[in-house]
Amino acid sequence: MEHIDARAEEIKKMILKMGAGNFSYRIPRSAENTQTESIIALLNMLAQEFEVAYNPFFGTSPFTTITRVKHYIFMLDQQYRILQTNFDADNDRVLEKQNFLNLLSPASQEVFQKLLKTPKKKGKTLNGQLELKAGKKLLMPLNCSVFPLRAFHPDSGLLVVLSRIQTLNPLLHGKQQEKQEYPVQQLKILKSSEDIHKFREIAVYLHKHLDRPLGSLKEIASAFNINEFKLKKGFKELHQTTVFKYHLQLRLSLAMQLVLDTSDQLASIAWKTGFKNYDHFAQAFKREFGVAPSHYRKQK
Amino acid sequence: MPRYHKNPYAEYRIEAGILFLYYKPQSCLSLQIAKKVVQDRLRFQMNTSYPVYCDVRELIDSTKEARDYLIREGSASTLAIAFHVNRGLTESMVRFYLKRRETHIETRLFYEMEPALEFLKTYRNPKHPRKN
Repeated sequence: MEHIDARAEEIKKMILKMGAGNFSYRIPRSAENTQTESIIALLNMLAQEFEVAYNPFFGTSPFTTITRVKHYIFMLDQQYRILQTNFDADNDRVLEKQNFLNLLSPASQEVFQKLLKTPKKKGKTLNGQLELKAGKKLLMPLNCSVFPLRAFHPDSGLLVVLSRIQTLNPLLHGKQQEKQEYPVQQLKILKSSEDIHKFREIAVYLHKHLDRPLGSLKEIASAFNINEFKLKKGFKELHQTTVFKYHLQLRLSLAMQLVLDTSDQLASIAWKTGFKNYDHFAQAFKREFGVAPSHYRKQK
Repeated sequence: MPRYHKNPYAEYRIEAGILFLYYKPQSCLSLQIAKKVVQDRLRFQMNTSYPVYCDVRELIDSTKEARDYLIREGSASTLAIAFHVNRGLTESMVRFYLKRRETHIETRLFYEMEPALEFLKTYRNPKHPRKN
């Protein structure tokens, strides 16, 4: 059985990266069923969760969420040798003239070569997910777009754009300017973490009751031991919408999923998502998605 | 009613009022795979809910997008779920996944098949025809 010491370096490096607020790295995985492999799997999953969820204000609406998109560009020749790149996540290596495939994990090498064999449709980019070796022994998963340059010159190679999308969090250093550009909303009604926790419970309650219309605000407020005013204003503050609109959107999202993924009758979907009748459901669906559910199903 | 179905990622079988779902070996459960597995299951079930035996022992890794999708849609039309895991890797991964999943569907982990089926039998739909 593999001893944890054999992988200790990678695990420590990963924890240090996460401690510094960088959740972009992953430890290479294998199929071995050992305790060490379980710890590594859990650590990778934890980093994935943090990468998305690390936000000091739970439930802030998308317009206050600050994300940073970083593009790494690789110009490759026909043999996939790197001609030029702005990749700077690993400063110890000179990347020019190296083979691009050597930067990828074995699984990603296959993905990349498969991607290149995909017949290119007019106007479409080749997109995929690649894991780049970075930060010594660690991997960095990145979204990948490949542009064959042959259209411009027969001897040209490839332009590969790798993108990293990061949600900014207080552990990351610097970037004060970006915070000023996107001011975080000051919460006036929700003053404590208990308040935020309570509103999170309310959101969970809404998620669990998609098959029926909600009771009155007063009833919901009393179920959660808060007053009606706080429920109304606090919910708006967190979600930028009212309790009822939020609930309606959830029901319509579920309905859309059911329209797409099942062969259930539309009237049955209307009933399952808490609408009084099909007409009411169809109207709401069209208002939200711009198309009637019957047309939507036919389109897909 | 079809009794057996398979796609490149999973195999499905309905037997004695229980739906058996076996994940095939794959290096990473992606969102695309998770969607296909759930959508095929829903089609296979044909509007009937079942207790589900879910064998995940061949899974090695998963993406966050796939887990998030399964948290939302994975237990649709199920009456209870028994995950068959191996001690160690898949057990850890499923436990982590379940920490974030809030559902009223009764879910348990098992190392063996027999106790999993004993658990699921108590959730069988009494109206559904079955042999035993």
